[in-house]
Amino acid sequence: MDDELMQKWIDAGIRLAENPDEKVSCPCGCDSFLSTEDVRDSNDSSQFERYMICKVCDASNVLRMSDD
Amino acid sequence: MMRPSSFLYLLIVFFVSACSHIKQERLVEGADPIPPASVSVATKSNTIDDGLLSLGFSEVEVEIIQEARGIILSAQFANLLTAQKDGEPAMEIINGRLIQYEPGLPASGMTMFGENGFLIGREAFESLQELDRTILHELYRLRNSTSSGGVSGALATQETEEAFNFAMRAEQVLR
Repeated sequence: MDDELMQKWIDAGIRLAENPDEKVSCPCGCDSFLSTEDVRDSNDSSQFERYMICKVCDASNVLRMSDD
Repeated sequence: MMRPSSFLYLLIVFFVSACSHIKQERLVEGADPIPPASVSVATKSNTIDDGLLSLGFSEVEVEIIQEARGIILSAQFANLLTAQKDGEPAMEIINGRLIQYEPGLPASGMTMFGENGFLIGREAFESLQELDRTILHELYRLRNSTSSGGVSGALATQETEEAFNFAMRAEQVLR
């Protein structure tokens, strides 16, 4: 992953951590938007992971988050 | 002929001068205040901690815990802690693993699959426990995730569950 692509993923992570409904382009440049899906920890439902997924090119990364 | 008191005076002057010279040499030698032996360097351990195996962790899990210990004890990780105190982003490569502190990230961590590394966000620093769990969580995911071929709902649920579970268990034996 080059520096520019990495920075795009960081920017995407920051924006989607703040607002999962925001329209964020796929960092890979495949003319698509990232979708998000939150998956809760069954032991502590205040914790969850936010998957950021491109349904066109299958690129993904994951945020570890909590409601607090 | 030299009087004994003069001889004694000269002897003291010579002695003090010699001591001062030696001290100056030592100060120059000691210009680096951190001797190499005191700098911790993250190293990969080739041996499996049997104590952790006896606690029910698998070999892969023990390797992850040992890698996390190496990260936490490294000089590079200390640089990330300094950056966090200063509110500045910082990146380090620790044992080939890219780890970046990103103060603008409102999350504890973010896996960076393409980099074989992860970001640490500001929420990880809400407690030592959360910081440890974040490191363990991210290492576990990087080691075990099979989502590179696409993420289904079932796969996401399974991998999230496993990562949170492992981080919670391993955090108790990490330090």
